[in-house]
Amino acid sequence: MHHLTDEDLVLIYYGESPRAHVDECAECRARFQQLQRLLNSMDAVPVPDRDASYGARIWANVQGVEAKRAGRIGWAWAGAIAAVALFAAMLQPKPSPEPVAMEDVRSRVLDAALDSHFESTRIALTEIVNDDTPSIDSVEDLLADNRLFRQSAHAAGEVESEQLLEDLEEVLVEVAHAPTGSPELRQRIEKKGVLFALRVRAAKEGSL
Amino acid sequence: MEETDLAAIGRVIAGDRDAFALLVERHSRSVFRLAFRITGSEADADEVVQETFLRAFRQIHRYESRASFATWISTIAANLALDTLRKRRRWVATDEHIDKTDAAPGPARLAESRRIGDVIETAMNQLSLQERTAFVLRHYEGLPIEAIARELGLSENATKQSVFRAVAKLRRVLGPWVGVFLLCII
Repeated sequence: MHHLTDEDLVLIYYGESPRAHVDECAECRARFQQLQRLLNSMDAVPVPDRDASYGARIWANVQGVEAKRAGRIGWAWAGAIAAVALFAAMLQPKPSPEPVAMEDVRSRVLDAALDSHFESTRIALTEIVNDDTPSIDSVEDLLADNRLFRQSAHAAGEVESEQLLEDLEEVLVEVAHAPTGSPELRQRIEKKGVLFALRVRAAKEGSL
Repeated sequence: MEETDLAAIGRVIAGDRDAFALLVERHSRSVFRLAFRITGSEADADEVVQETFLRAFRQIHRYESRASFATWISTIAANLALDTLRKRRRWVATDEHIDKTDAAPGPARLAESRRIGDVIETAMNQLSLQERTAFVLRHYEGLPIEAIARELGLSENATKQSVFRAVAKLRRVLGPWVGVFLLCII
């Protein structure tokens, strides 16, 4: 007589396979009962519980993180809008020497912020390529910042930075959707050359 | 009448962020239990719960009602718990001062674990990350293999094999203890 395999019995236990044979065959029934005892005993694992206010605490924490993030994005938007406005103002012909000074300030502020963004992105992508997982928060924040910097770079006509930011955005969108990474994602990051471009830029800026 | 999960989700998507509180209230403790079963650590489980609801809140518009909210949130939590374990095990594996536990525990070592939970946890630690997660989702969460495969991004066959290997390993370690457990449960 044909008997069931251990795998068949597991599927029957979980209701993913019909159990007719177990009812008819004494040998398989005995093996099934042994498996039942084993798997039923797994329910004896003591699991700590959380009190009734647990959900309220988790929700408060989620709201806190979201508020912080909204604040960061708000500041980033304000920065981007200010940068764009500043740049637009610079385009206005003015006889005073002020635009030169403003250009200098604008450039330094934007460059410093952009360098810091590129460095954070480089670290996050390096973690992924090295099979580590950056937090979803940091990836989503990087993505939000990246969009703003790209818009600023576009408005400022900084073609090289804009192109790099565009490439990064594609990669960050993908990472945000699959933060645990995968060999394919790692390959695509490397193939796209964004990490290389970031390293080159950092080396030029002297931060590597 | 109590509002359904689906109705609450609808309100969140429509802009009523506070409606999400109801979903957290309703599901956070079961998500904690799931995360604890996978990670085996209360602190890790708490972190997984918070990250799970944060991610669900941000991605609520991606929720599709073909699965229940409980299933959707469980699979997010399982994946995050798996990531947590992966990171922790990599750290353990690179720390040479930590006792290596590759070999199956002998009866003498198991006998030292007087509490049922310790013995079962010892057995669960013999499972690979994938086996542990697939087993927890199948055994404790009651998800069908097909759904586990979809949510973990595995083939159905690979998921089945993970569950089979998990049960075989548990059988090897727990076999001699089953009678004792049953006496304690009864």
